[in-house]
Amino acid sequence: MTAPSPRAPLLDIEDLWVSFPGAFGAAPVEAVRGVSVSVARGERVALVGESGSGKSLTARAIVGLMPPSACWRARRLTFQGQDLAALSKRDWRRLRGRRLAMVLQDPRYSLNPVMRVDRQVIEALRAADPTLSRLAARERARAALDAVHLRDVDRVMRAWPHQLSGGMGQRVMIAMMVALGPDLLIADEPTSALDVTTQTQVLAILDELVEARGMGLLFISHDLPLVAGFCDRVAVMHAGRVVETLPAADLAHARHPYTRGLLAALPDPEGSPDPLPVLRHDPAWWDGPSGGDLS
Amino acid sequence: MIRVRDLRVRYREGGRPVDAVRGVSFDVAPGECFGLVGESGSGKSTVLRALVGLASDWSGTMSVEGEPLGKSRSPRFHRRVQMVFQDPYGSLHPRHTVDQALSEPLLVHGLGRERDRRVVQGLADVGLEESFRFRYPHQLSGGQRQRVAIARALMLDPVLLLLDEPTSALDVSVQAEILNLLHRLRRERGLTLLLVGHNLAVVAHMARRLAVMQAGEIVETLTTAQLRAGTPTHPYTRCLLDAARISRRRG
Repeated sequence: MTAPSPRAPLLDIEDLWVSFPGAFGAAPVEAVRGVSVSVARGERVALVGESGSGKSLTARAIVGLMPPSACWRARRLTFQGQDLAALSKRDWRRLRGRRLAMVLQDPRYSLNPVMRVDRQVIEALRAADPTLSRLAARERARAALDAVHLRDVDRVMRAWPHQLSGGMGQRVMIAMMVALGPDLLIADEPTSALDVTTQTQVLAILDELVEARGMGLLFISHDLPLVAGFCDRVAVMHAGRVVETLPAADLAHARHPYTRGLLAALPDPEGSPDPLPVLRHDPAWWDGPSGGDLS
Repeated sequence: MIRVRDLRVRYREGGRPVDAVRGVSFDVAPGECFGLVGESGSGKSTVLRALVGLASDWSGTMSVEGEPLGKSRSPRFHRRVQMVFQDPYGSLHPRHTVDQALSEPLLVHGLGRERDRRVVQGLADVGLEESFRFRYPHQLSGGQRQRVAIARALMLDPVLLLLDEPTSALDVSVQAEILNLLHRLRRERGLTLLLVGHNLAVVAHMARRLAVMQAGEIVETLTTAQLRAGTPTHPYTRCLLDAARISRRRG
């Protein structure tokens, strides 16, 4: 990959901590412990880790959608230089959806099941821009669905969410989120529920948006091979911390034993049928040096 | 061990018939691990369901251990053939302890007298300590739950395990542990495995031979050696293979 970009980051997180109160007076549970990560314009940054590593909570902190019981603090949490911690609810509504958007894992839970697709997309567009007329919103919805390469746009517009396949539903979600041209898209496992061939198509759409519009992308995933091929930079999370940040192209030469262990545990279609090396968690990773953001 | 010829399975969706499996044939030798790979809707899980007797509307011929399968399955069949499902959280009863889950097959088949010994042994076989015996599924991690589901399938000493995406709900490091466990159990017990999955890398790791399914049909049957040699002929197989090794080329 090229050298770290000199441009100011679009998103800058420094030392983010998230904790939950412990049950029955127990000590608080620290789910995110000092995460630092940044995303520049036109950059694809992956946040990878296994379940419970804190990657989705980090994403939720960025869009200001924390579970009510969570306590969080950060030395810096800025988007385009704006301090996200200081935003009012009204400021948040103005920001989210327009400049900062998020796509979740499963379209079955993200789309409203009792609303036709066209109404949902139009609603999202008009909520973000109330000056938009109904007719203009419909045209933009159509254009957005067309942009994510849905084949029969008219049919999809009239459909109920349950009539769509997983890949179509996910593309509708992406269309909704990117219709207003956000500067940063946070995609939380956007392709995990999809088949590999559909996954390739959805990634191509995201890629196009990054290339054509210079959108920043924070891609949250548990799939190391996928992000190695798709992203520019990878931050590996373990137990609430970023243990290593490196260019995606160098993932095969990762230094941290956790990252190396994860890669070794992957079955290789062309590898040997011997037992796979099993990852042994080392307590030293818990508090060892964390992988600073190299950008 | 398994012989399937021209299997067709049909089910109804919203009143109209759907042909989920359209003329599938394959053989699995005793002690072999055979893989069925395909994407969602390809009919791969339906083949398993038909074998184990969970599909009602099917035609063609199927036999297991030389015994032709009819519309119903004998108790002996259910002792010899067991199934492991994708999501152990869904396949284990949330209000039954591990002990109850493992005892149930014994009780159903009238083997309750040996219960204590066999439950403890069953846990040991999948690498779980005795202390897990009286836990509930929600007190286990995903990998431990899948170990319990495998232990349950092994309680009646089956000869054939039908595995429906056994690791796709698990983290990569846990997936490696479960695949190694299945590998060891197959070797130690001479089990025959029929493994269904969407992840070509996982299936190719376990199986010597695999069939690629698309839209209810087998488009190609090949050995993993042929796969490694890069000689899959069908474009769909190549597409799956490309997706499986995408990072290795770019990375």
